[in-house]
This record gives sequence, C-alpha cells and structure tokens, in this order.
Amino acid sequence: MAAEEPMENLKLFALTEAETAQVIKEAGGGTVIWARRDGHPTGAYVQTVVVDDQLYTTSTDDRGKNKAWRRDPRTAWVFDVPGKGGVTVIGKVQFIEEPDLKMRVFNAMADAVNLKGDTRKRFIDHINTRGREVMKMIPDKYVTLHTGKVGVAMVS
Amino acid sequence: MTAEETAEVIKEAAGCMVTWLRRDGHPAGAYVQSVVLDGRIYITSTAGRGKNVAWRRDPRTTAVFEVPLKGGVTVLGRVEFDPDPALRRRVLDAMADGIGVQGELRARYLSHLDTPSREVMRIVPEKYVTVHTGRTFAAMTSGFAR
Repeated sequence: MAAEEPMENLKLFALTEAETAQVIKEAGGGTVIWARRDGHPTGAYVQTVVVDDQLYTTSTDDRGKNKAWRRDPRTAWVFDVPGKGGVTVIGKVQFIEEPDLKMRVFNAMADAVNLKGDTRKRFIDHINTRGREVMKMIPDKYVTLHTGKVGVAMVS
Repeated sequence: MTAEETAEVIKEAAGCMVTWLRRDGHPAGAYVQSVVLDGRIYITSTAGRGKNVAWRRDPRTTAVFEVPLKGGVTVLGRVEFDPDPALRRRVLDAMADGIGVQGELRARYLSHLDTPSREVMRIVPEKYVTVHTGRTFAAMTSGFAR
C-alpha cells in the first residue's frame, strides 16, 4: 500500500490560489453541471469569462441548464488546462439582471476569442438576444489538482 | 455531428468531465482521463473517491468531451463498475498508451495506477448530445441568422 499512498492523497497536488485563478482564466471555458428534475446530474461545455474576479457564463432561458438552475441553483463548474491544472468550483448560480454587467460579460467573451470590428459586432449581436441570460458562479469550495505535478509524480 | 464525428471527438479528447450526484443532491463533477476500448468508454478512479461512492449509490452520470473548435459531445448514461482483471489490465495499458509513456516510465506510471483500490468503470450511453463547435463559431461570426 505504501506505493499507492502519495498518488491517492491528491491534497499533495493542490493548486495555490493564484494557480487556481490562472487555470480558470486560461481555460476560457469549462463544463457546467446541473441536476435534471429527475435527479440525473448533467453537464455541458460552455464559454466562461472572469470579470472583476467573478466567474460568469451565459445561455438562453429555454435551455435545460437555465431552467434547472432556476429550480435549484446548486452547481459545479469544472476547468482543465492540460498538463497544468484542473479546478472544480462547487457553488451556486446567481442570475444577473443588470444590463451593463451583462454587456460587459458579452464584451469579455468577444475579447476572449479576439474578435474585432464587424466580426465582433456580429458575435455580440448573436449573443445579445431576447432570452439571453448571464449567470455568475458563487463559489462555496474549490477542488484543485496540479496535473503537471501529478504527471511528474506518476512516472517517478 | 455524425456518429463518426462523435466517436472521433470522444477518442481525440482522451479525457472528459464526469458528473455524479452527492448524497445531499448537489451535482458535482471532475475531469478524468478516458479511453475507448472495443467501442466502449472507460474511466478509472479509486474506491474511496466521492464519485465512486456516489455512483455505487446512484450510477447516473454525464460525460462531457470537448475538442476545441471541432466538437463537443455530452453522453448521458450510467456507470457500470467492471471488476474483470483482464479488462482492468487493458484499460490501464490503454491509459499508458494514451499519454505515450514507454519503458521504465511506463512501468512506474502503471505501478502508481494499478493499486488495490483502483476501480474501472464503463460509461454506458443512453443519449448523445453533440455540437459541431467549429461550425457554431463560424455561424456566430457570420450573418447567417440575419
């Protein structure tokens, strides 16, 4: 059992706070999770952005995840940057109503994919539609793994 | 996406985010390495982990695969634990192949992976939700909807 101990105590491979923030920012997207009405835990990959150190995503009000989060805001968002780190943020979703903040989130999303000029305008036009909602993650807990260090440890 | 494109994304991703339901009903998830053997998706983890404990209680899961600008695949289904030693060996070998380790590095990698509490799980799909993200992005920056 001695050989397995280090690899099975993942606390040894946690990310620092700064590394965690870097992985979330660098990932630029992650899988968001919700529970369906029947309890099935479901997820989808979405674009995410960090604005004023807060984590946001967007979707439309007819989507399963939006309906599910209105019913039960509990969620987990999972980020992975290969060879660097994995972050699971456990928390709850808050729907954002302020138009200014929503527009800042849309602009941050356009920035993240380096859109400028007409292409940027079209991208934001497609996002900024009736029914579009912006959701903020309110974190309760972070679970992190320094996958770079794990990779090294796994072959040492 | 076509069935072929879907299989390609799952294989190329080489990892996925899997979900489970905590006892208190909170949905949770983690990123794991995955391999495809004989057309089936396998993952591995150790018996004491939250996800293994949760799946023994309720095997429902979702596995989300993403290959940037190619495709996203969400597999809704359930987890089956498979204790077959021969399958376990094939899954662990495929994982070593997946990260391209050979010789002594491979032996070390496998010794870390092949521990007594290691469990192999198969994801049994019930439904696929797919999106061709390359095409979606192209559409988002074009005037197609106008």
